[in-house]
Amino acid sequence: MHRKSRTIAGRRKGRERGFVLVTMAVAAIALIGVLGLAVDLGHMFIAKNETQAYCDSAALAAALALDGTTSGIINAKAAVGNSTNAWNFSNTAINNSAVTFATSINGPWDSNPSPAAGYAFARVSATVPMQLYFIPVLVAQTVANVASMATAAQVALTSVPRGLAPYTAVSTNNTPPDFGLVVGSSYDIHWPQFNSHRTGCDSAHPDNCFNWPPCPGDTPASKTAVVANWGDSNSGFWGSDSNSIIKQEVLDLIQVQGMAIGDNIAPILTNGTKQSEASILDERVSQDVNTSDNTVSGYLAATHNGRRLLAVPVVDPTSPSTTTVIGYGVFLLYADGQPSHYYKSNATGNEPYCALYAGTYNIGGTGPGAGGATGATRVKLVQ
Amino acid sequence: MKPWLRKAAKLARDRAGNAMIEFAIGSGILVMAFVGTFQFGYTFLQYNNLENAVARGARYASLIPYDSISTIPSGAFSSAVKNMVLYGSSTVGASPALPGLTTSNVNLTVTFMNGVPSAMTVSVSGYSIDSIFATSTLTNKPKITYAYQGIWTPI
Repeated sequence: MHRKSRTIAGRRKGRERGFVLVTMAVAAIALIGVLGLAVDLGHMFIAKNETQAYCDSAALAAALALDGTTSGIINAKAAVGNSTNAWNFSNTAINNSAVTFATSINGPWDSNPSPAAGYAFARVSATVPMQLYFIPVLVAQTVANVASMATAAQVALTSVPRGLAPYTAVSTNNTPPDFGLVVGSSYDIHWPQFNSHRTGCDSAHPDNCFNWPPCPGDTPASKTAVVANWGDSNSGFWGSDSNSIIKQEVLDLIQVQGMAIGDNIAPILTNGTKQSEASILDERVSQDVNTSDNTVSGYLAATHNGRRLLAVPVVDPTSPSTTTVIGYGVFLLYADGQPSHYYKSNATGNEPYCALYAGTYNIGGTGPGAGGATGATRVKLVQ
Repeated sequence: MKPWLRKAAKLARDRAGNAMIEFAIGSGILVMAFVGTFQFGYTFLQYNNLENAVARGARYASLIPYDSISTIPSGAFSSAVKNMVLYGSSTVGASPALPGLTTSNVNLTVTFMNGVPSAMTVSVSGYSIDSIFATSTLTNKPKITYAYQGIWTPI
């Protein structure tokens, strides 16, 4: 009996031989799996975060460059190409991104839209090949493709708390995005001195009511509205009468108050102080690197930095006590060299301050925007 | 068989202490694996948090008014951006996003193009992620740049 039990124990021992090896092999695979989760998956999360940051910033830069033209599309692509954000712990550049454009978040997405009117959405996608170190032990895969995507758009703003200059453009047409204003035409942002005693001055002949002719782009309807409702009470200026504050309003674009579509700004409109305003407008113009082109197309095609572009509310004077904000627009200030003295040389008080309508206002851009329901947009991530 | 040879053969058959040796080797490997897993996992987690904090700061810098005429930002602008990286707010908060992270670790680089601000870059330097068993010191990373889309206020 004793001998028999010894024999069984010996057999068992023989069967257990190699058990540790198997256990260790299984444990090692599990261990490498856990290491893979920590190292490869952790790395993957970082790669995802890095590529997402790349796509976010590139999409925002692209959307900022869109202006409704094919040049804007080219500039948007260049902005994506110039993005310096890298992955792999900020060591490796991302070279294989793709950018597409659309007129709405639902697409269709086009990499090269032409014509480009209304294209206000930019989508950037990027994929990076991430080397796997431990997971290949479990899965037959040595590289994981980490993909990210971001969509940015010029989103219409109904109110602008900061970024508008203390001038106005007048229009009786409330159709967005341009409110009847024609790109490249010259409009009054500060009206010439009103004089009701001039010969032939009446609502039917508004040009006769000013000491100096209004700017050539303003429509008869706009001029009639100004003569009938503003008269000599204001010239479309809504800023301060303090020189130092006017300077901040024009150069830093602080606003004496926020401005929203539908606001009645009649109570804050004044005639302003043209002489003070002139030198400040010229100072802003002189901060641009382009002080030679006096056409919108010429200015935008040449190297510029956007300082000559001034955003103002577009208003509709409907009664002496009601001037309604109907939208926003951006205007190109005139220049006569570096430094510029254009407005100073037209600052007797009689002359208007004219500027060329450039398009819709895209906050932060160095050119006009791609459109929108209010004429003012802010670039935001939308997806 | 000679006595010493018999002794050696007996010793070879003797399995006493085997478990201890196997445990010593096995546990050494296991501990190293666990330490490595923790070290990588913790470092990656903190790096990921840092990446988010830097992205938040860079985005914030790209949106707020820039109040300097040069690429050297004003103290107020610089502080607001660095606080945004550290605390998720433009003002000083209770505790930073990562232990030991200070404003001196956060770099803000302003890029001008044609005389106006065009991009804001935020990065981290001199910050060490201490994962108990090892320390990783970061130099100029994570680094994130956003195109400037705020309002330049030069006066």
